[in-house]
Amino acid sequence: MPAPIHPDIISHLIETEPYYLETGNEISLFKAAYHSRLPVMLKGPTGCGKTRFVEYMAYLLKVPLITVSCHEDLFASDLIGRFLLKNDETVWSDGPLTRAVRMGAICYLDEVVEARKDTTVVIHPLTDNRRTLVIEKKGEVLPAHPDFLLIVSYNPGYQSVLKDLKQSTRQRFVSIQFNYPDIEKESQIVAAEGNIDIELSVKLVNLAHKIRNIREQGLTEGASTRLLIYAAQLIQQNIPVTEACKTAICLPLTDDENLQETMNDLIADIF
Amino acid sequence: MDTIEEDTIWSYSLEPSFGEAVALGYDRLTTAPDTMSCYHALIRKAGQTGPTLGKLMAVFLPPVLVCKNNRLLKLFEHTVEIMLKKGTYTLAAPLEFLSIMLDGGDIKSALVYLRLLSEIFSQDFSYNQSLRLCYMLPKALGQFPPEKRTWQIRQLRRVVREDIRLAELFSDGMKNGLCLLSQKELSRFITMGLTKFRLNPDSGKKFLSLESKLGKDTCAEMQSTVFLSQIQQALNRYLRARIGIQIAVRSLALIKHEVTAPPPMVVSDGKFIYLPDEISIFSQKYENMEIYKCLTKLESAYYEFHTFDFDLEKALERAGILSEPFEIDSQNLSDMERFFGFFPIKKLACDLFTIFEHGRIRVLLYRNYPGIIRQILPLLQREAVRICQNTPLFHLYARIALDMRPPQTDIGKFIEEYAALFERKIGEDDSVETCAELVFETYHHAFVNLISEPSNSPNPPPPFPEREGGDVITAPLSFQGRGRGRGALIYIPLNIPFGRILRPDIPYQTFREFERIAETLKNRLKEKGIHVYKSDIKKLMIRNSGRLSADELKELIFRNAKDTENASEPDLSWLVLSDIQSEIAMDDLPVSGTVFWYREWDSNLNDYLHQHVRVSDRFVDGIESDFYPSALQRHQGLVRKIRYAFELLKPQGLVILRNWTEGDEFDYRALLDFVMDKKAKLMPSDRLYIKRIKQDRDVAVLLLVDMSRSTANAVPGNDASVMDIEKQALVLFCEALDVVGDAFCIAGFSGTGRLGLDYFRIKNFDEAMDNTVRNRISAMSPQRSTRMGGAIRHAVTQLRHHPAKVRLLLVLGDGFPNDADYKEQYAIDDTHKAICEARSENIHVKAITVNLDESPMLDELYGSVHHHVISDVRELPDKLLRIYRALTR
Ligand SMILES: Nc1ncnc2c1ncn2[C@@H]1O[C@H](COP(=O)(O)OP(=O)(O)O)[C@@H](O)[C@H]1O
Ligand SMILES: [Mg+2]
Repeated sequence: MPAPIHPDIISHLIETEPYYLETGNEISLFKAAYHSRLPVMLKGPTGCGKTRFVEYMAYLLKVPLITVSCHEDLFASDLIGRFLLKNDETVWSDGPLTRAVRMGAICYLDEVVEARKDTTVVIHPLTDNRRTLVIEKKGEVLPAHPDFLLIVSYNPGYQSVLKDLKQSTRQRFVSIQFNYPDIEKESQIVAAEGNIDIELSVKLVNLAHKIRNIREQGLTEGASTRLLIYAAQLIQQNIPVTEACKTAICLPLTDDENLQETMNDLIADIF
Repeated sequence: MDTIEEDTIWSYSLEPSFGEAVALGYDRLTTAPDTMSCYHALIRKAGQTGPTLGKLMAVFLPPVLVCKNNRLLKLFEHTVEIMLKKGTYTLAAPLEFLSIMLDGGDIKSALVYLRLLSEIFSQDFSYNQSLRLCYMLPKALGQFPPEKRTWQIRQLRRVVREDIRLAELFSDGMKNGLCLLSQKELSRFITMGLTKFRLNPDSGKKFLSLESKLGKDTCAEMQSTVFLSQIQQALNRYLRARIGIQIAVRSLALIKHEVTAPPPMVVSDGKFIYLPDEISIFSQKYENMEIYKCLTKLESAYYEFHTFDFDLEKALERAGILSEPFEIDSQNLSDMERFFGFFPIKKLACDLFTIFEHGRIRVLLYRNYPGIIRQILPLLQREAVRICQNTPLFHLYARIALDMRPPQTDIGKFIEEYAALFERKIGEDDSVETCAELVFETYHHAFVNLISEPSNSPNPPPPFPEREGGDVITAPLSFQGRGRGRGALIYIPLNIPFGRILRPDIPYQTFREFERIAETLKNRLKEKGIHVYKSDIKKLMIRNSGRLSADELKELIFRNAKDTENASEPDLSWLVLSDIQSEIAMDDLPVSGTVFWYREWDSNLNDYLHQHVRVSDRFVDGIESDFYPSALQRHQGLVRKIRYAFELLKPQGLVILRNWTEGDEFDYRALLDFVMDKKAKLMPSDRLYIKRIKQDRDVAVLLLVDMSRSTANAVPGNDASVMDIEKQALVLFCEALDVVGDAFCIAGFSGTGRLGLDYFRIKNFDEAMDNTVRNRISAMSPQRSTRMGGAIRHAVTQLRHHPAKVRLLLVLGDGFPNDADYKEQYAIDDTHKAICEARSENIHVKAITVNLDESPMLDELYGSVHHHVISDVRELPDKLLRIYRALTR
């Protein structure tokens, strides 16, 4: 017997195909994981396509997607739900995680390390063979819908050691490694998303590669694909290339003047 | 001979030390016997005044006399006379400095200096002032670089003529930055300063000593000379970003190879790009800066576009030659030089090759970095016009390498033909070997048409030897004899802007060892019927700093084989890649302190060697010194900033946030308000919740400092060593951690051999920051080698029992681990293993490496996201704390 269709589902389905270019074998890996309903952890630097990938997979698998961006102030109740006051009454309102568990959606916790540690604990029973969500406030133990899947993303870059993910949490996921795509693919992506010609896109990607070479000199991270797309979009709006690169790539990366200077030199060389 | 004896005896009788000085003086003068009579007369005269003066003259006269310069001698006598009026005591120090100058052969400066002395000491001043001047002058002038001091002392003369008190201020000013000015600039600055001084003595003084902002700004603005040290960091960062391999810039003075005179503006050896210490070609600072950048960008193109990966075998294949045409004595020659050796006039082959290679680089740069071409080409073209040789070959260079128009003559027509050929060939294949092909094709033609113009020589030049049935091999051969036999032709080598002639021999020297291994390997493989190019193996080794793994080699062969027919996985099991290193037994090394034993990972065995490393653990004996306070003083501004930043890191306990529309708990008071409002029929606020955020910080950190010998290296532009700066960083680290209240511990390590690892405790977790600890920091000094694995294991022992929730081990090093029988991959593997062991105990290990350029090997050592590189150690004090803050925020 198929599970009853939750009315919320429609609004969380992704209807138009998101643009996604496979960079390795992540699609088949993910499909396999989904088939066995194994929780997935996407590892990789920011802006390399993790979020886009999840959207794309949700589209391919025709499963609703609920995304939660994690931050320091994210409480368990922000995920599970809480009682709210409505017209003198207290009414329960499901949080995003609870909704996903009920309707059988993919729940994507973006940048999960950013969440407070006690928050991440609520996902534990969901990610082992119990597959349940404990709603303490209501005294309810909610079994997950058969289609439900939890995905988290995690950026193992230069983080604070205080924020490292606990082993007990880590070991509940299969991990897929993401990285910046190779030059050819990344150029295609930037050209497609930024709507610029491929030649210019190759140059932007070249610039990014050079900047990634000096990542350890004080940049917390290299220039991401996302920033390249921003630059491309500015260029598309007739902003001169040099300025677009500075605004979209260099300035966001660091405040260090020396590094800025090096990056400006590179821009002057390449364009 | 008699006078010498008499003088010696006489002076000895006056005072023994006088006698000794006289004897030594005569000895010195044996090289200039004709000056002895003068010496005799002068010391007699001086000795009659007293043995003290006699002795001074006996010591300081000979350096003057051996110069055999009358003007100098007269001026010397005159100056001494003037100084004597103030007292004999004024002579010793100033004259000693004079001797130093003269011993260095710097008569010009000596003359100016003597004039300065005579001018100063003919003025009126107190005994104290005079004493101070005698001490200060030689010390200050000693700081002036010999090549600049003549005109720098001249400016000092101008200043003291104005007012004797300005001498000291001038010397301060020099220290503070005036030394960076060129002759003209300094003179202009002093003129301004003196004018100011006349109007307002106080502000004039501050201006001259660069104490005032105006003085500083004026000096900085004037200074058009750019020094390598000012721009070195930026250039290195640029190189790192653009090419991504390990190459850095360095002063040309440090090059070990012979270079042409005048030296080129830039040359490189595969590890370093050598540049002049200073550039002052243009009158604007930024223009000179540009030159540094342009030269770096040009030179690095050789590495980006693989000029020095030139492979003779590939080149010969391209020309259709299957084996070397003849055996040249190829010992110690790079492939490129061997190639030049095929031609009768090597220099011509080299010049032609340079022309095409610079052309190739221009094309590639244009393709990948049009911006570089825009910046550089005009500069090169201008320089080419300046040094123009007006020879056909030079025009060819200008056309192909610099994209300039050739003259409208017959030669010009030839040149255009060459250019067309070049463009076509490079368009087909842009590898460096194409240039060799081009040289093969053009050499004879160039020799006949571009070198010896028919009009100059009555006899027609040696005819181009007919190719016998397209046999390319013999062509250069048969040519060789004739070229040499004639001997009439003198080839004038090509002049190239900034002296950038190709020097394949220099990078070859750097990587000769790799080249030899690559060659051997290539031959061994060949015996087994496997073909690889030598340059490909070498490239691999350079990229991996000399390591060669069987896997990578396999991949290389596989890739090659795929192009041909047999694409099967090669079997390399017969190949032994590593040499076994000799072990040094040191079983009977004395130890002090408590002894611990640790295992070590042997990557060859793929197993642990148990009880292998002996660590002796002890406290450093502190020494009393003002190092700690003076370091604080020096970094005053930074300390203030750090205190503030770390104050912010301090946990505030529980933080309660109110007025939330949602949250974990109701806010009691807001709830009361809510009910009251309801009752009063007012619109109640729905901000009823509070959020509680518990802040705690329970961090313990152990800072482990590598105290190996290399930390004794001097830091450029600074008389401090790497260790000195590391110690300053430690001082700031202690101050900061004291503010935030994290438990911390500092230890250093060094040693020799597996039984001699020393672990120096500087501060334990439970020790307070007191004078004992401060003195231990002062006492830290460079020791011996770096056996990092054992040190880390011992640090973990120390950290293991600390109860903190977050435990951090921060390793501060200046390079790779290295010790007796502890090298390269072995050392890296063991250290990495030790780090993994630490991580498995839930200890975070992070590393900071100073004074090293980035290397992929660091990733292998510490793990790719666990280390920071600070290539300039001077940035360490600031960066260490930033990193710590980021790690624990
Ligand atoms: N493989 C890819 N295919 C298509 N677009 C990509 C790909 N990788 C990155 N992008 C682009 O980069 C942008 C940033 O990616 P995003 O998924 O937001 O990064 P992340 O979630 O890893 O921080 C996306 O908006 C998308 O335009
Ligand atoms: Mg994202």
